[in-house]
Amino acid sequence: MSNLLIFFYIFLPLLPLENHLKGFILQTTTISTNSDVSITGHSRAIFAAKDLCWRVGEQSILNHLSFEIKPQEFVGVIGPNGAGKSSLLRCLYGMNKISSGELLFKGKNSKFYSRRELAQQVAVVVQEPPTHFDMNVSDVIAMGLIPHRSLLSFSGTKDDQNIIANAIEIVELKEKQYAAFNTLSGGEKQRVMVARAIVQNPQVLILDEPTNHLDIQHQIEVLRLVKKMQVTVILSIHDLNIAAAFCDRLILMDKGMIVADGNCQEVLTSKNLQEIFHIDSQIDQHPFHSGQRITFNFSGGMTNDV
Amino acid sequence: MRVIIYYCSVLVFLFSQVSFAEQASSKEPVQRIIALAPHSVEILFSIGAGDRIIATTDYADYPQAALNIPRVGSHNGIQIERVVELKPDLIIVWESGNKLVDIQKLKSLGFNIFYTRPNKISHISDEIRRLGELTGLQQRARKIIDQLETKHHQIKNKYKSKSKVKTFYQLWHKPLTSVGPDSWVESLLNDCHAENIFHNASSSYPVVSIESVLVKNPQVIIIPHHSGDKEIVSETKTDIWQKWSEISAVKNDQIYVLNGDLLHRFTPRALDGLQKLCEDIDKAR
Amino acid sequence: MTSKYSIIAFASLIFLLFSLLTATGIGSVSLSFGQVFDSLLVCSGDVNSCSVDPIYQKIIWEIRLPRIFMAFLTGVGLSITGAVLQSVTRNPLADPYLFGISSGAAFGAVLAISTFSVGMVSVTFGALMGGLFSVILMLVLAGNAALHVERLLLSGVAVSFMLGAFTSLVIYYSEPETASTLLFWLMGSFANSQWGNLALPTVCIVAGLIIFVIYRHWIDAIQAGDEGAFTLGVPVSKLRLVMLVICSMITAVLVAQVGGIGFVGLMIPHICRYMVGSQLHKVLFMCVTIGGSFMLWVDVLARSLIAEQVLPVGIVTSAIGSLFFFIILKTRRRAAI
Repeated sequence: MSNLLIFFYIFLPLLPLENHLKGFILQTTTISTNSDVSITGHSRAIFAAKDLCWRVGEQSILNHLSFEIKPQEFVGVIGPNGAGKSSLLRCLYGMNKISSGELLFKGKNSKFYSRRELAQQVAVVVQEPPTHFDMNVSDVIAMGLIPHRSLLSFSGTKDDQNIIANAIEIVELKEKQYAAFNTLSGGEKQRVMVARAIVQNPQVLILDEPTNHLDIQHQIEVLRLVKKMQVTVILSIHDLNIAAAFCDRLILMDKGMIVADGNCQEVLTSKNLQEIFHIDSQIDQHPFHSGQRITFNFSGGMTNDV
Repeated sequence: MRVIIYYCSVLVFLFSQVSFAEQASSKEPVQRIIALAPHSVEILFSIGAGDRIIATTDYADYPQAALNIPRVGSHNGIQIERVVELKPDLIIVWESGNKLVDIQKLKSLGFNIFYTRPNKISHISDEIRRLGELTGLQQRARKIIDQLETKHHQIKNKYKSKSKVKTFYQLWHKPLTSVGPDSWVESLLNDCHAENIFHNASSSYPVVSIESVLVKNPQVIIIPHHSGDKEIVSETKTDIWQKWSEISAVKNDQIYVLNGDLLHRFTPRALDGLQKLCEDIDKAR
Repeated sequence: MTSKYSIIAFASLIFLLFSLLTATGIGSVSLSFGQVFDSLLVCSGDVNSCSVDPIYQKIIWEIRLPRIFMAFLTGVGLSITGAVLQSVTRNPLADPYLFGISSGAAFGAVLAISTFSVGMVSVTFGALMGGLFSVILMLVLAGNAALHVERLLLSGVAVSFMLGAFTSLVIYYSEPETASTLLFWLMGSFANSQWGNLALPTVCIVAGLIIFVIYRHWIDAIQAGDEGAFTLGVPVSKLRLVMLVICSMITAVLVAQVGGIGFVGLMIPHICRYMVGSQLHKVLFMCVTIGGSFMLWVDVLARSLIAEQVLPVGIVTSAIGSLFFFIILKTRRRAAI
């Protein structure tokens, strides 16, 4: 029974998208292992932080963080609210200037990259897509080309049109490509932002709690799309089960510091969850995929108490 | 029917609030006068009541002695408190030159108010007469009025039977403003037997365009110039017309810059202004 | 989809040409289309085959055409600055007035008029200085918060009120005649249009348009939010500042010539967006045609509403514009092209 369900889980979304078959299978079968893919060839880290600190005025938000992110890794950043997840991501994509310590992007200090160079290699999907957006979907997606094209020649060429059409296909928004962005649902809007990121053709995709406002179906949809892109992914997320399902590696943060850094088995332990999230849990094998399943014990004070 | 009566009564009520020609009255000759109009100051001096003026506004600069009178206001407003402090027994107000709120306030304070609103030269005589009565200087007033009226008739008769001259009166150049029906200046032009080309305008001081002047083709252009004007050189006001030789006034060099003080003040001196005006207009005939 | 835009754009261009020709024929003397054509094309060459009186010829070339082009330029300039300001601040209420640019330019011009009452050069200079001053003031007042659009907007509104108050103060203390000049000018007027005065606004507007079109993708990217644009490699704060300065220069140069005309910069971009969507180059094109036509007709109204008299243009724009806005709001549909 469970094998059949695994089959459906893996191959059903695959069906309309034959060209991505190979890559998708490769990704899904390695979903819970220690991302062997990332070790092939490049041992050089894409991001390397050493003693990274970020302060706002007197207050220290990020404290002496050191970590490495290897190419093609799918990294989840988890932790309670206020742990500094978003701040860390902003440091990575250059929005926050680090106060002390070192951050290297592809071996070079991130300070030395111009904003445009960074934008050509790093794409970002933020929590909430902007609301006042009068443009249509296809135009929004086309914006992903901005870092790659000069101001004077833009999206007119056949190639560019293809790139955009391709991205629209991948996120399955072809029928809505001329609709106004404002008229889409939350899930659709996020898919548009992912499509834009696809067009941006980055090596790294950073997502800051992209699934916060989405229902379960769309949460999984968006992450699947991201996984398909086969780029290095750094994602901050609240849902630990989804993190366990998609991420190769997890960085657990609390109060501006890295508490645990490693693969899912190493980081997602009852002990860590108790210490950091102050919640009881039981962790076992997920019935539908090869990752962990985290069950929370929040009995007491509810209608369905035992 | 009831509705009509109701609205009529409302209108009557409203109109009764507006004082049409309420004028001051006084049993005794007034001794302490506040004149809030430069022309009234001139008139009072001319009938010999100049020493009774205890306060006035800016711009009261004729005769010389007027410059020494304390000022209690300008076109921006009147210092009501000072007026009250001075305890006048007559206040002369000018609706075109004083703020209506100030006038209302003074009226509500119960002062004896004289409204000056001359629209033509004959009104000046009326006002001189009235001021003469109020100050008890009827004799002097009589003399001035006689002089005035004689001269006025003289001028009018001289030009009455001559042909009408189409005239453009350029009150101001930025924006281009002229005079319309019911204005003081138009009455002067009528006395010279000149035709104001903007006689059919819908307001007394219409803002007009060069085009409309062009089309009406006046024979004379009159440009008043005041002593207090910033533009020291009056030529800038005439510059606009230099390139429009299609206008007969320009072609025949009938553009005259005249003394605005004389033309715009409702005093006996206005007759000097009128005389010069008519003479210049006559040159175009 | 592109063809729908092309149709609309072409139609608006035709309308603009029609407006230009018709407006030339309207005034104290009415001229027919035929006469206008003749005057423009035939008479300037061969005087003999002209069907138009020389005096009308002169009226058209010396009075009407400069005025019409000034109106056209004003409509275009105010509309495009409104469109860019709205895009760059993500605020649908942004326009040169909101940001205090117009108030600054007016203040500078009013100072210039009341202190040196000769020459157009000093007025333009005063307006330019005033406009730039207001931008600088706004940035200084916002301080670090200039990076946040909302605070920048608030700062702009504050500057607008402040400079407006100073302008009123200057008028209050000036002589009655100067005051009447200032008041009429403040309400907007095309009366002073001469060929010579058109040069500077034309240059500024054309240069501005070119720059806006070149940077249109970056400006559009700001719609995605400051952070979104940042991640696309757009230098958001710098771009915003540069656009602010350019807009203020265009506005100042126009305000110096024609005084204060409100509402156009706010309304026209919205109308254009309803017609062709939000992409900046499309909006800009429509601003040129629709904004220009609008101003031409406003000028016609200002000249002909009251017989033989001229109304200040700003009054007409506000009256018509607000009516227009109500109608648009009522019939609004969300449709993207």
